[in-house]
Amino acid sequence: MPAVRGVDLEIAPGETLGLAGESGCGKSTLAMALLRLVPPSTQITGSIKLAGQDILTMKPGQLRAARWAQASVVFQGAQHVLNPVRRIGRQIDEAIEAHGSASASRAGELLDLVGLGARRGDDYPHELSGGQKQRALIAMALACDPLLLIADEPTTALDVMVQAQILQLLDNIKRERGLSMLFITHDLSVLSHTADRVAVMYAGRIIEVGAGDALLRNSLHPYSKALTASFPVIGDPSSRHQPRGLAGDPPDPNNLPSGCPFHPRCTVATEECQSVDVKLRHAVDDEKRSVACVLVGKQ
Amino acid sequence: MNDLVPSTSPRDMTWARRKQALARVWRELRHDRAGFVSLLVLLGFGLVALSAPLIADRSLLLAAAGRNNPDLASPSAQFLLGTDDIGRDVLAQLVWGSRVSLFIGIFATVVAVVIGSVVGLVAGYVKGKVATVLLAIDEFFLVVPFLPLAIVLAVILGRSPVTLAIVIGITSWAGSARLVRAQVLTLSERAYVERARALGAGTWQIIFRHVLPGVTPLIIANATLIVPGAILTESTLSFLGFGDRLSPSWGKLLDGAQSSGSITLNAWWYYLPPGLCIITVVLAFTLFGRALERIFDPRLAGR
Repeated sequence: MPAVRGVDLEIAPGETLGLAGESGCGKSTLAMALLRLVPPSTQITGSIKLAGQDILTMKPGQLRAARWAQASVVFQGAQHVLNPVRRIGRQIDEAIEAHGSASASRAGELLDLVGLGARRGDDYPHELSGGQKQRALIAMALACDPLLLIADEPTTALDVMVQAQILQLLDNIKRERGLSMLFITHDLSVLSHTADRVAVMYAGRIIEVGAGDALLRNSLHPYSKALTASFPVIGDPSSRHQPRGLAGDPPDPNNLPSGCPFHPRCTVATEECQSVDVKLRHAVDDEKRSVACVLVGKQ
Repeated sequence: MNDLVPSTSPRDMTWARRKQALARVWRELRHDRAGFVSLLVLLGFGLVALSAPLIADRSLLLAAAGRNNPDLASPSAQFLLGTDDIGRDVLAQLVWGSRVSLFIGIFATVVAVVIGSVVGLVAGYVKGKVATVLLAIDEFFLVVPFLPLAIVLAVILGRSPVTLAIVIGITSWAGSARLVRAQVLTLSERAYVERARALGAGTWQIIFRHVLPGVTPLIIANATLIVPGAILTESTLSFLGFGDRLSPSWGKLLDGAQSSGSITLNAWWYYLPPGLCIITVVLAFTLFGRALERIFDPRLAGR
């Protein structure tokens, strides 16, 4: 059963790609597949190129070396991702040790960088707050100077104030180090100030890609429209009183609808949508924008 | 929290924390009356075993030592626990026997715990074919009646205390392997294990850094519960005549008492002390193990 299909994305050095979509659409599966962190029974086909090397053809040793040193992950739910019985500093050094580089501890330096302070390295995870744990995870993700940072809903469990701090921190670090970032979230408001480009996922496929602001302000695919409309716009009183939801449930990946997988929930679906499944294509006058909808660009 | 005491170095804080953790175990043990008394009993036995040479000279164990003594004499000022059927001091044998019994009990446990933990960790974390094979071996040792197996192994491998301990260890690791594996299965699904995998950690690194610390308390508590079984097994093997003929264990004393007919002759000083020692030590280890288990596993705290 395919969880993610026909995804073709690239992230330029220093670029942040936002990946949005509702729960269960395959965002995290896609992210984990990038480092082959999916269960062993899962098949990944195609190619995943990281700095010119194909992750899918790597031998286990090469793969282990590539993990973290080239692409690292900031996981969601920091309280479970840190081992409760090991000190923060030791857990950060673990990443460095796993890649055989100098035994000197960089944990303090990294903790300073994320604004926790080097002394915190001696604490256990339970001695930190949720936001502090997330900072520690970011420090850990930076331990091996990766090229790509995969941020898998890094702010999901945090309150809005802390969320803003973490986003700011990620943004600063990205700028300072010229990192590429894949930012996964279900919260479009988060993407509006972090992502250079945004890709919207539905039922395991990318259905719209475009420059961040443009896509969020003027989405073309009916699903992206519904997704952006579900957030009230600050300064627009009319949207405040009627945030619109989307009726229905995401489709069962075992039993996808014919044609466009979104048509059963689509408000503007035509008869054509039940049989025709359009691939992502440049449909409008914006070279950065691609949409997978028959109706877009037809007029 | 620690920022309030800026003068301490990280190392000092580490030690302070370790001391705190130990203090917590100690405090809870103090409140567990059975566990605490058991600990005292065990310490007493350990002290006696260590100071055996001070209590009775080793030469008293030799068959020739009883030549000039009365056979099966009842307790007296000269022989506090009487003499055996060839006139040797029973107390000397009992004291030296505690060394053999405790050594075999503990050494066999180390063997069993090491085998059991490694098998449990690997079978629980690696899964797949390796796990299937390991679990099949584990089941074999669980199912085979252990006494015949231990007897066969003891005869094949020889009868020094060390080989006896290895034999007992080999026949008693299967249960702890199961226990460790069960815990490893739940631990290896934790998010921090996936995180470790994502950062390029290898299988052994994950097992030793992230899984082993989580099962260590379980392994320690389980170990204290294996010791009494090992002591009993040693006594059984010695009583049946498969023990080391040269070292005087409690089981061997019982064997001597039985074969010399001390029970019909009512020579209680010959068979009662080793029997009571075995029972006391086994009981103390069991109660101490249970107490540790309660302290390390909060789910059992409510009893």
